[in-house]
Amino acid sequence: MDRTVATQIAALVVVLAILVRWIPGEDPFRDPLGRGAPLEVLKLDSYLKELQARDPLAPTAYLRGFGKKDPDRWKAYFVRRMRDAARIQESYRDDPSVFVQFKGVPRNEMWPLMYDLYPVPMVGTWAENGSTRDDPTEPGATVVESRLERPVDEVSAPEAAGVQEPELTLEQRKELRRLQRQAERRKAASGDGR
Amino acid sequence: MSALVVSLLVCLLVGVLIDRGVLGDPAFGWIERLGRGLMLGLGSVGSLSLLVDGLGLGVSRATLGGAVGFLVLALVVPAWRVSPRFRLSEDEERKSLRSLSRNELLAHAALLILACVGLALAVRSGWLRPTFQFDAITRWMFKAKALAADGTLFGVVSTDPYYSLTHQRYPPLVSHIANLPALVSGEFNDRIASSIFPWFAVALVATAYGALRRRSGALSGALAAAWIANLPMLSFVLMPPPGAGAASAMADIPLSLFLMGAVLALADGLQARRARGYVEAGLLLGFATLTKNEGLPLLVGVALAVLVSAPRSRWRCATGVAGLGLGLYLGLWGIAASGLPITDEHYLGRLHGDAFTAGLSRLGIIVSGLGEEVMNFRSWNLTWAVLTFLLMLGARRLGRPVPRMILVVLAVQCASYVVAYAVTSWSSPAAALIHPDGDPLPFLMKLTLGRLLMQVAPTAIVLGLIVSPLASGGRPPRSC
Repeated sequence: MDRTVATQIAALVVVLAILVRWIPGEDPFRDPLGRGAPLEVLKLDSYLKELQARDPLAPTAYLRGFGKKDPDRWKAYFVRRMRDAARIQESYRDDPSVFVQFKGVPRNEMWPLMYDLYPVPMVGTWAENGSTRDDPTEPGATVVESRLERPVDEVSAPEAAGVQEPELTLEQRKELRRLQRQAERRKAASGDGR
Repeated sequence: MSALVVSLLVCLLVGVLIDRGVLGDPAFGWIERLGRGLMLGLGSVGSLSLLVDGLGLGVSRATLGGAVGFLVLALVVPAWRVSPRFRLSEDEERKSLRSLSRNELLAHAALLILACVGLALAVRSGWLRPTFQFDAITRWMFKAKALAADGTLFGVVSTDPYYSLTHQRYPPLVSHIANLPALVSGEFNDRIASSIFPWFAVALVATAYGALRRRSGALSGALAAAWIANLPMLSFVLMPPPGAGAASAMADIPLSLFLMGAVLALADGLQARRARGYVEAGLLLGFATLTKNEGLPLLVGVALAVLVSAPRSRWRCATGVAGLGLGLYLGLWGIAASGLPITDEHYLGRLHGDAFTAGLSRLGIIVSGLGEEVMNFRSWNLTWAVLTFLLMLGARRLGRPVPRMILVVLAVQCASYVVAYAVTSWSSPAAALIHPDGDPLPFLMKLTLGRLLMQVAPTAIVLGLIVSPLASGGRPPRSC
């Protein structure tokens, strides 16, 4: 075999390796070759498009919850979180003295929150640096706490820390109710009481 | 969407004018012209935005729009004058396609379609997805949002230690580019800002196609396009880690583009194919250093590569190319940012004896991690295995000036990654949870090694195809 033929075989191997990934797998969890799946990407992006049409925040919420055990539950959490951030930003536009104080928020939860909140002024360090929910509140601060450890039904309740329930459309209320029912069913099925 | 389209068209216009008016040698066919136009335009408009910010003018529609308008006016006349050479390239292009048999033409078309499929997937994902990658949110997009809100990157986000998460002194070229749609529309939209990133991948693939087509034939160019555009890490690995894909709003694909562009321009300079190949290499090298810290070792790699490969005036060429890159870095960011706090890993500051000695014990972890990553079919297909095979097949040609130059650049770049891993003092809460008493390096490598390999993969593919006798009928390719 001369070098040209060997190179052409190598080129063919590259093309086949590309094409193999487009063969639909029966079960993405049984993927011994670890093919990855462009078709899964298409499916995910179509779903994101659907979510986008319903609520501009939903795709971000879904993606931030992706990879977690219960994406729907996390989606509800992140939607709520971003609505809070949007509302705080709005009040900051009306009143530039508004600022946020983080209390007991883990670093990896706090940093994306800071992105969502910017340019609202922020104070308070993250939980790993010793911040807790019991930190004294600075006068005039809008407090933001961690909610990562709490289940969806608690998350959807109005917070005691001055965060008002955002105005929801009828459709959004229905969607939230659906998510809550789903979470309740899961809780009942797992029996773990979380 | 119109904000994104207008931003891209402005960049393309500036890039095409620079390509024709400053660099003087137009691209080979419309695909390469598109790729080079985007590559030069995204880099130039981003750099112009950095300059405007560095001068303290504030980045706004009026200031940056005025600067871009002035640049366009200055370039129109010189660009207009190079049209005769442009026609010559079209002739060469037709000849190149005519030389293919019917089967080869079909294979060429099929490979280009395959490339378009990979790129379409990345562009669609980029358009539909908001920013979701943790590092993209906390660094590149955070700075883009700060630019949109404050009109400068020398404000509170870069000076207040509270915002150390943004890696304050880190080069911010891509953040300036991601801010362009917000300048056009007047409001920052996270999804639209991040949707500009997949276009770096489009430029990457189109540039690689054109450059290889000139050197090794149309079939070789089309294979490079299909291969790079369908690298799983680039087009469709779903989620992080490492999340370096074209739709992830990370700076690895932009760096990959500027690195490959600089190497290809250097190759043209070495072989005197382009009158201003070295200037182009220096310019792209500057964009690379303004994109990520990993662009800085590239200055050393390129200077060394020129020294071992240039036929004449080696020192002058090496100093000129690396000097232009370094000058752009210092002039547009380095000097202005020298007062900002260093809140990234700051590998340069750890290059001392003690860190090296401590890092030696990590070499085993680094080599085994690297071995695992290159064999990862999910992220890389058979890319690294096939590349090794191609390099073995073309081993005799590796000593020729162009392959030798590319090898040196890649070797220095990869060596810099190994050194960075060896000396790093990185840690994070997540790493502390997973490895409470152990070295966090394996965790860091899991998060980042794929990204680093993504930076060099397209250039490595170009090297593999340049030395391979794929479309040259067993004859040495013209490039060597």
